Amino acid sequence: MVEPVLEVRGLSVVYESPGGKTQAVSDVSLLLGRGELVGLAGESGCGKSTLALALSRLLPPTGRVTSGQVLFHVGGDGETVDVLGLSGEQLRLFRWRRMSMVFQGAMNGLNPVMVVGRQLADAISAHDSAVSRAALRSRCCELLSMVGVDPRHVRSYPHELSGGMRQRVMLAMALALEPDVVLMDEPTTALDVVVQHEILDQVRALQSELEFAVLFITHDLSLLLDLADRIAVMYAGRIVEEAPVSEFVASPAHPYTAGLLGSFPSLDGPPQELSGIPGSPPDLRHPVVGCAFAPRCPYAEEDCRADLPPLAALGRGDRTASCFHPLVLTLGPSSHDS
Amino acid sequence: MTSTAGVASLGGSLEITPAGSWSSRLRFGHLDGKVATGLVVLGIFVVLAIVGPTLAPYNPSAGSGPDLAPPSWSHLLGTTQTGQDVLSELLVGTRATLIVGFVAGAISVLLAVVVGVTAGYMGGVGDEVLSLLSNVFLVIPALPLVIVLAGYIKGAGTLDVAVVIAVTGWAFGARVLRAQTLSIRERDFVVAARMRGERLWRLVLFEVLPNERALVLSAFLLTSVFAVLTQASLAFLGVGSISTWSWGTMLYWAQNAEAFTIGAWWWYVPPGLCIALFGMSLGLLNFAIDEQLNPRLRVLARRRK
Repeated sequence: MVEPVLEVRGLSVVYESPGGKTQAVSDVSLLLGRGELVGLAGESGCGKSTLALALSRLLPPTGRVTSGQVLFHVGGDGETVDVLGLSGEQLRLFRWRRMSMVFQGAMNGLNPVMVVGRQLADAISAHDSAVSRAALRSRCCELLSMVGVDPRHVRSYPHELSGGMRQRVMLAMALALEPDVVLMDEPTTALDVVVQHEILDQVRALQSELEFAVLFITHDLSLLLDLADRIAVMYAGRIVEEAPVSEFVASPAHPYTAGLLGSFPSLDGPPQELSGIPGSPPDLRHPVVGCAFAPRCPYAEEDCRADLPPLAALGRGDRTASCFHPLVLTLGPSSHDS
Repeated sequence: MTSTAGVASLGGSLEITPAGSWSSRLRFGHLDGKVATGLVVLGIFVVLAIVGPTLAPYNPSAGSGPDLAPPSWSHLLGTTQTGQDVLSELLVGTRATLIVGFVAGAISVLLAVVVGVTAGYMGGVGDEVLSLLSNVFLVIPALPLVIVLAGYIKGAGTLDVAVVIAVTGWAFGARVLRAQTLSIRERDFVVAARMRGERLWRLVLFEVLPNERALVLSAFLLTSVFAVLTQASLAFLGVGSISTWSWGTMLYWAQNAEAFTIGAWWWYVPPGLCIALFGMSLGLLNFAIDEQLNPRLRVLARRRK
C-alpha cells in the first residue's frame, strides 16, 4: 500500500431544503495514496460531485457534513491536517497549495474578461504575494507549455481558446502551486473523445512527473479503465465497490458495477450485447432501507431488501464491495485462497 | 481584404454566418457611426460646460437687448422678456446641468454597485434587507420625493440637487447588478477563484465586478440622463435654486413668461433641444459600451496579429 495522502472517513453530507433533507453522501470512506490516481464513478446524482465539494469545503450553504472526517497527510514528518476543521486563513492557505481542483466546465471555468496569464498569475500570487511580476510571467509561460499550450496564449482571453485548450489551462492552474492532491470533477466531459484522450494522457504524464495524487470523478466508467489505478463506484451516496483497476475489469463483484460495465461496448473483446440497467436510482430525499440497488438488482434476495450490506473486504483485501451476494467471490478472505 | 478575412474567421464566435461576414463589417461600421455621433455631441457639451461662461457674449442675468427679440446677429438666439441673451443663458447653464447629470450619475452608480453587488454576493439576510431597501426606493415615485427633499434643503445648490437625485435614482441599477452578481458568483470561475484562495475583496473586485463593467457604465449613462431630466423638471417646477442658470431654470423662466403662448420659440426650444441632444448622445454611447468592454466583441474593433 502506498503512503496515504488523503483519507476520507465515514463522510456523510446532507442537503437541507424546505422540502426536506436529501442524504447526498452516506458514510463514504476513501483512501488516496500519494501519486495515485483513483477514479470515482457513478451515475448523475449519486453524490460524487457532492463528495468533491465536501472535500474541498465548497459545499453550498444548504449542504452540511453530518459526520465523518477528511484527513490530509502532509508528507515526511507525518503531520495530519483535519480538512473539515480548517477555517478562515488556514483553509485559504491549505486549498490549492495542498489540494487543488479542476472544474467541470471548460466554458465557465475561466473568467471571460481576464486574460489567461493574469488568472494563472492570480492563483500564484494569492498564496505568495512576494513573487515578482517577471517571475510570475515566466512561471505562467512555463505552466502553459507544461500542459501543451503555446505560451503565447498568456495574453489570450478564454474565448480565443478552444475547449480543449481551456481545459488544459485549467489543468495548468490546478498545478500552479504543485499540490499533493488534485480533485478532477468531470474535467473532460464537455470535450470530444479525441481531445479527451489527449488531455488524459497529459494528466497521466504530468502525474508521473510531478507525483500528485488525483481523485478523478466521472460518470464515464470506460474512461477510468485505462486511466485509474483504483476505481471506486458510487451508488445512491455510498461506495458500493472499490478495487484495483485490473481486478475490476476482470471480475466486477457488485451487480451494479457489472451493470455499468455491461452498458458500454468494449473496443477490443468480442461483440457482446449491451445490457444497461433497468429502473432508476432511488430518491435520496427518503431514507433507503436495505441495499439501495436492490430494486434494480437481478440478484436481489430478501436480505438485500431488509438490511444494508456492509462494505466488506473481498479476496486478498485490496478490494471491497457492499453486497450480500457478490458476483465473483464469496465474502471473506478465507474463501479466496484458491 | 485581409481585414475582411479576419472578420470572417471570427464569425463563429459572434454567431454570424460566414456568408454574412461582410455585412457584419458594415454593421460594425454603422455602429461606429452612432458612437462617433454620440461622442461628438457629448464632447461639444463638455467643452461648452468648461468654457461656456467665458464664451457667453453677454451677462445672462442682465438685460442686454430689446425685450423678446427673435434671433438676430447681435443676439443669435434672441432675447427673453426682460431682454436677457438666450445664448448666454444657454452657455452658462450648460455647466450646472452637466455637473448635476454626471455627479448624480456617479453617486448613484456608486450606491448601486455597493448595494447591488453586496446583496447579490452576500445572499441571506443581508440580501433580503438590501433588496427590500432597493425595492422601497424603486416604488417611491422619484420626482415627488426629490421635490420634497430638495424643498427641505434650504437654498439647495447644484450639488445638493445632484445628491438628492442620486439618492432617489440608484435603486434600478442596484437591482440589475444584484441579479447579475447572483448569476456570476455561481459560475465556475468564481468558485474556482474562491477555492484558489483569493480573498473576498479580490473575488468581488477582480472576478465579479469586471464582468459587470458594461452594466455599471450603462447604469451611469442612463442615470446621468435621468438626472438631467429630473433636474430640469425640478427647475421647471421652481424647486431648488432658480437663480442658478441651467437648462431647467431657462425653461422655468420661459414658462413663467408664457413664452409658449406668445410664440417665443427661441426661448424654450434651445434648452429643450439641448436636453434632448444630451440624452441622445449618452444613449448612443450606450451602444458602444458592450462592444468596448466585452473582450469577445472588442477583437473586432482592435485587430490583432
